[in-house]
Amino acid sequence: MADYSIWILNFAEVPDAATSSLIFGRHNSGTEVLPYAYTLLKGHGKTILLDCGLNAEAHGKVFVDKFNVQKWAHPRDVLGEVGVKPEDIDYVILTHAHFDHMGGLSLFPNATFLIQSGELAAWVKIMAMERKFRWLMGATDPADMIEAIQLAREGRMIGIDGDADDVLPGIDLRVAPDTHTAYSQYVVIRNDGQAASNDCFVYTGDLVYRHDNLHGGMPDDPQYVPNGLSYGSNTKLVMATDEIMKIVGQDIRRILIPHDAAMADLYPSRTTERGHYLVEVSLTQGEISRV
Amino acid sequence: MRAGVGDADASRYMRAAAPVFDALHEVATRLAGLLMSAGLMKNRHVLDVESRSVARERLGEAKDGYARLDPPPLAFHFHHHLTGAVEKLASALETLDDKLSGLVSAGDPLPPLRSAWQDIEAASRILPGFETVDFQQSCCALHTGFLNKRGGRHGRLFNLDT
Repeated sequence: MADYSIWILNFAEVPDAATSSLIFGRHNSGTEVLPYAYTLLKGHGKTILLDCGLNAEAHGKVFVDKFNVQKWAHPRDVLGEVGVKPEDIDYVILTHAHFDHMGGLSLFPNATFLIQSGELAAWVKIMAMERKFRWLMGATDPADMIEAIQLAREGRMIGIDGDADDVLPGIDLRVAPDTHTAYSQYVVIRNDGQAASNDCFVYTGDLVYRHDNLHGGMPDDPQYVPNGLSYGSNTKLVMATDEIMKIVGQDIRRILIPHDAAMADLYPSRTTERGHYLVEVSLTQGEISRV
Repeated sequence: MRAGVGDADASRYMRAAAPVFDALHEVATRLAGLLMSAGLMKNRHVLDVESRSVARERLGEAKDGYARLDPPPLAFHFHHHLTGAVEKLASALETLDDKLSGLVSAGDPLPPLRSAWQDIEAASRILPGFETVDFQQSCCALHTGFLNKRGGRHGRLFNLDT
């Protein structure tokens, strides 16, 4: 029986993302919908969010307005679909410091946030660079950094140094340095609580955008193809992808990808009244199905 | 009120205000970085003399540029927030210097920094082309409408270069 109930909760989408931004080398291949989603874990008496999205009612509104983000919904409504309130979130694990993963800090007033110290240190370094280096700042909102300073003072923003086992029961953090960002991390959920787990999931953050990143569109003869934008090394991203595949025993169903609507085809799911998909990956004993 | 294309006074103002805005943005991000170092990583990067020195230098440039600005009515609201950002960032930097020099009465640089950033954000929403975040290469924002029709100082909607 699962230790954590796991849901993937779509909360917004960009309807026309360039395919080349998602899968390296697919230029002139048109566009596709790029969904945004929370991944929610509930178990061991804790409610845990993997990345916290963006706040379209605050500074994230600029992004929403300018970049055609559609169907954004407040987490009270999105999480409400599975009976969870933003105030219920105990922990948020931040995979990296981009605005669409870290921009919702203020939406979860009781949460403690976990991020790689190196990720923040890298941004500190980049933030001290001249304007001509601003490409490196792309997708990082100084407002989030300022918010993070306040949270750190309150003891609610905790820096993790490297790989860490059991940061929460059965949850490990693995760093993928110099990949999508300087210190992106991914989350390993051992859903049976065993050290050598037979019920393992990996939440990728933006290390993987699409299943095509895992098999190159050829599941029978797979090759890893990095996503369309890494601030670090594509080679290291491919190697990190291989590590992820090994952790889940090559079972791509167990790779939880926040930007891939295909997740809804792999597990029981439904579409909410707001038009968002809701995916139920696992349920603990006694937990009510929400699909 | 938002400025429109073809307003000559607004165009001149925006051209002159652009380096001021950029300098203020850089000062704010440098200060945020320094406070992040001190707050989260508990290290002594906050004593990074070079970064503070550059922040001070850039603030001086911003102040000089600001003093030369002559806002047309269309830009009053923007200019109001630019004024706030200049004053609050000066206060934040001064407070940080006081704190690091061990002045007992030194306050907290974070509140004026937060307030200055709010002014920078507010200003960015009033006139086109003043961005607080560079989304152009943002992985999750590469929608085609933006790429093909983006505005700003060097974009089609408000191209001051032509």
